[in-house]
Amino acid sequence: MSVRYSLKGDEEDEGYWNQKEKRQNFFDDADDENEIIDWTGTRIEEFTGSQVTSARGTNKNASFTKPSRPVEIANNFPKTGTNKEISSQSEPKPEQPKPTQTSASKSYHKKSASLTIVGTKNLSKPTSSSASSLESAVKRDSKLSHTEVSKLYAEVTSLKRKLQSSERSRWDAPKVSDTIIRMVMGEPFSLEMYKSLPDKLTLLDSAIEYHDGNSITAIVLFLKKTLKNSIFISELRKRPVAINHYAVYLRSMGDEEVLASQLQILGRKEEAAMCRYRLTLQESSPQARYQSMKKCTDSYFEGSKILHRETVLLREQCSLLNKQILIEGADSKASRERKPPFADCPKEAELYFLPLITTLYYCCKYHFNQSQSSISSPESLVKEFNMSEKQYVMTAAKACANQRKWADLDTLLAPKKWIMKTKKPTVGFDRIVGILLKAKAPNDILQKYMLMMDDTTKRLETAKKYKIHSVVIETLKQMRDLRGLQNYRTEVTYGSSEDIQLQTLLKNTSIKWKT
Amino acid sequence: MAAISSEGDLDFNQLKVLARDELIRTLESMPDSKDLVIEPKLMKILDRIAGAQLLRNHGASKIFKLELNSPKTDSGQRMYICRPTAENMKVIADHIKSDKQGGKKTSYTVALIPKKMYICEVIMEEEGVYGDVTFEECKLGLIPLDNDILSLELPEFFKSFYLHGDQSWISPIVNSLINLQVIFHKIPNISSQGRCAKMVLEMTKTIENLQGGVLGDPDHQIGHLFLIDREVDMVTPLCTQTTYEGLVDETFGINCGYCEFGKDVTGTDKNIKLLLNYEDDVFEEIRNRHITNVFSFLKAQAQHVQSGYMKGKNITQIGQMKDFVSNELKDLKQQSKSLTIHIGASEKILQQTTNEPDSKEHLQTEHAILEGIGYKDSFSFIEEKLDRQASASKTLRLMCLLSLTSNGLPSKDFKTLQSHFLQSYGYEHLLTLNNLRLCGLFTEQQSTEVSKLSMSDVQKLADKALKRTAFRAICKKWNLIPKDNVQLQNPSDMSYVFSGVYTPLICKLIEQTLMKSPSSTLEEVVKLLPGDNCTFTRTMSAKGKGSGAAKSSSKVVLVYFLGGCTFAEIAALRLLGAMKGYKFMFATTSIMNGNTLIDSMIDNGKGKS
Repeated sequence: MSVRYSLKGDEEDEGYWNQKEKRQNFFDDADDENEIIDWTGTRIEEFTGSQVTSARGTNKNASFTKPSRPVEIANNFPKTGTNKEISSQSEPKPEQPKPTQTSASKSYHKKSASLTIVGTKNLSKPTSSSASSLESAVKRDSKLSHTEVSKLYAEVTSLKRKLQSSERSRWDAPKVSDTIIRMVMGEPFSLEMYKSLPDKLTLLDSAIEYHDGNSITAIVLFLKKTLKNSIFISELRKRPVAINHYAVYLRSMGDEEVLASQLQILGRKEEAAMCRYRLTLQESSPQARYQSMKKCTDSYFEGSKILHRETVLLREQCSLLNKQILIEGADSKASRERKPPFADCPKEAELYFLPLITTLYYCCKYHFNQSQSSISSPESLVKEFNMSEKQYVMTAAKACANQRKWADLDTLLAPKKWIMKTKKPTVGFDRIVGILLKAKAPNDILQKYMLMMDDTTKRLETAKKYKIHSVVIETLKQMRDLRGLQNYRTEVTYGSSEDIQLQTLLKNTSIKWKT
Repeated sequence: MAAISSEGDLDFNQLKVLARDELIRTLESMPDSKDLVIEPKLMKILDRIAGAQLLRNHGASKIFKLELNSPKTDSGQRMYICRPTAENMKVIADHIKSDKQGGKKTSYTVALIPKKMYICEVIMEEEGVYGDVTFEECKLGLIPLDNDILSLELPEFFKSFYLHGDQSWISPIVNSLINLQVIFHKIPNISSQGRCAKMVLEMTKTIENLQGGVLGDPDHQIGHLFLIDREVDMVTPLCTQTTYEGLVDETFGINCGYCEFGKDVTGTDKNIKLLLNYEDDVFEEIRNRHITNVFSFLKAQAQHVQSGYMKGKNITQIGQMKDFVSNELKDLKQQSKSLTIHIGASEKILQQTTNEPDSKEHLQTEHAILEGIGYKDSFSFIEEKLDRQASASKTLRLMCLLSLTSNGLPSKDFKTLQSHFLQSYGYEHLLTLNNLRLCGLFTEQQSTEVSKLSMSDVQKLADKALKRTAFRAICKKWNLIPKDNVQLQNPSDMSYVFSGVYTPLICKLIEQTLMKSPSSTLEEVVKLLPGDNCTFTRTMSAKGKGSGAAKSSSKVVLVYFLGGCTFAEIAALRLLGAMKGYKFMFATTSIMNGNTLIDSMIDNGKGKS
């Protein structure tokens, strides 16, 4: 990478960052290289070897690509705009930025490209002219005067000097600000030369100032490689942005173990703890996960004030897994032996790692009427995890409905269960009806629970939608809506029980209809 | 160069041409025939700018998806086209190593979109295959998705920046901005809001300084640029959009402009992939409409098409028939095909709201939360939704909305929703909730004991209290929640995109800035928004003085969303533009909606974090 540095003379380097000078040479520097290579010929090839070609991206070793294109266009367009007042009328220049053409000519016609430069600048080296046509060589030979030759020699010496100085400076560290800008601009750079700690830290701080994540990562990794761990850690701790990028890097490398331990040392204990927790979830065997989760909670969560809530939740997760292991052990044995409740239907899936509510559903499905003391009874689960009445009733109702256990559903929803606290049921009957609809319960069951819905408008709406006629009729009666009843006649099959119900109602004169 | 079409719109086609040229350059960097291995996520992007034929014309012989296993092929040259991620590099390195073991001699080029990251080299070096690979940068920045929408198509950006604090994508954003200003000239007025916007602005200035081009340009074709962080308004993406385009995105998912409709929509036995943009006349007409206003149009249009066909039936003369077949019939066929799909899609959308038992309640709850009424009812609705194990991401949207609008939930409520969520969907979602907390989407109000406070703490607490009521205060100051009924059929208020319940905050911010509302009220609100606000006008270059050419272009406004934007916001600004005579153009890191936002936050411990 440093090769490109050595190729540039000192003067050129200065002009490089000069703001006033349009940065055209910045991106045309591939041509400059050609120029130097061509007529200092052998010398450069000697010390750069194959790397010169690699710099142009033809060799496989090429470590970087061509100068960034967006900026390349950015550079060319304004040139036409500002220099020529009316941009669209400047004829040849807009053609320039066509990247396909330029890049193609650079890589495939290197020889001719360099020759044209030589031609225009009139700097051909007489001895190497064999490559070009004889005619032009003769022409040039005849044209060269003594003064021209001596001029050329003088230039050669001055360039030799420049080359030597740049060869020396190759091993000096360039200014930090220069390197950072190269990094931000996506140009090749080298960090190896920055040996002093202040330099390293200035690098990091200026990358942070420029907000360029890619540079920050590069410098953090350089620091990690070249600093003693304790210094690396203490400097990083002062720079949260740097830690972020270090963490992003570690995360992308996929080693969460390292990520967790580094975050721990870098003072991000909570983040580290969550990482460790994440790791425990990778365990696929229930017993192993239980053990490692327990260990993780004890060593990284317990005692932390900030993670207090998480600790509680993790403990819950541990006990749930423990419970699942116990139930699964007993039930899979029963299922193998075809004992109740698996006498007619064997168990379908394993219970491990399922959510608490799903576990509750399982218990309701298979162990609904077991005594509270049994480990797999729904009640014991509700009690252990301090679940709300709502959670229980809704889950149990779903289990009953799906299994067509209407008697159980009745017991579940019988008012005695919640009469203690409030008169209002914990779960509205609209929810129960929702569950029944989803379970595709038969009409008579739907009818029964729909009629318990308090909100008549909603009840009417639902009943109409699912065509539970008797509920519609009953509700309309309750709402004393004569017009609605009359209109609904069209919906009901003539002569059906609902029709008769409707007719009777319409004939009933004792009802005071709303007007 | 001049990128203005007859109507004064910006011509995004030029960007497409540049993107295509860049792709060709990349392909040609490896001469002769080669196999292409493309990261699946990039397929649609390449489709938009090139298509398989163009790839073939430039040496692609076979095209593969980037997968764990190395493609089975004998070609001596292979080019990978992918994002510069560590994951991709590792897969490629594995391919190369297994090829080597199999004794295959292949040369590899890795073309990285949009830039090469340092980590790419590091991984190749570590894997010992650095010498086998040539890196190329394929600088595809903003992809034109429509005649007014540009996108970087980086849906991961939100998570990487706001959750992990990864700033690697700032520089591609800056480059895209610089390129835009090359094509459309320097934008004279710039406003920014938010952390990321600030970084982008600063880096842009740095690079412009280096290039010596900070001055304004009289030929500018865009008068005003807004750079806005998604973080400024997280409420909007969580709300259910009610425009047609927004709902199509939330229901079916629009990816890079393409939307795939299933059999139930197309009415045939196969799925149809449709490009949804201004070229589809039917779509262009209904995209910004409120969903309740779509069906009537489609019906009228269907009748129109039918009468068109009838006309064909009644033709008796051959000359007329020829005319009809060659001109009208093609249009009619095109229209009826597109109509079929849009009718199917809107039917499906409406069905969803009527068939799912609690979707109406869901929407009502969402509206109540926005208006700040009936907190208790909303809370218990969410709680029941959790207990019923209803769709996790929909419920999370409501949870986050409740938290955001109350600027954090009271401790007790926070804990209840937290544990019910974990109990219903699995404790491992503690990771999900942690992500949401870190992004400020689902948070707990901090309770502090007053007696133990120092003076500085009191100050901090006062600031916090200010922020706590921030959402309500902003809503009140800018009337984001309209009191009167908003017309949905012929909208005249931006809030129609959410059925007249909420005006997207960012759109209001833009309106207020452009309309030059009294700076005091603007300041009062801006103070409450996250991140810094910055507004400046470029000094004009000396040559540009006295030029009056900029008049029409000063009404062209580019809004660059950092972290994604929703179709609702785009529709709202299109309306604002039509009402106030502005032409809005949009650039974004990606198009998002509530589902994609929540899904990006979900982590249950499986796969990568």
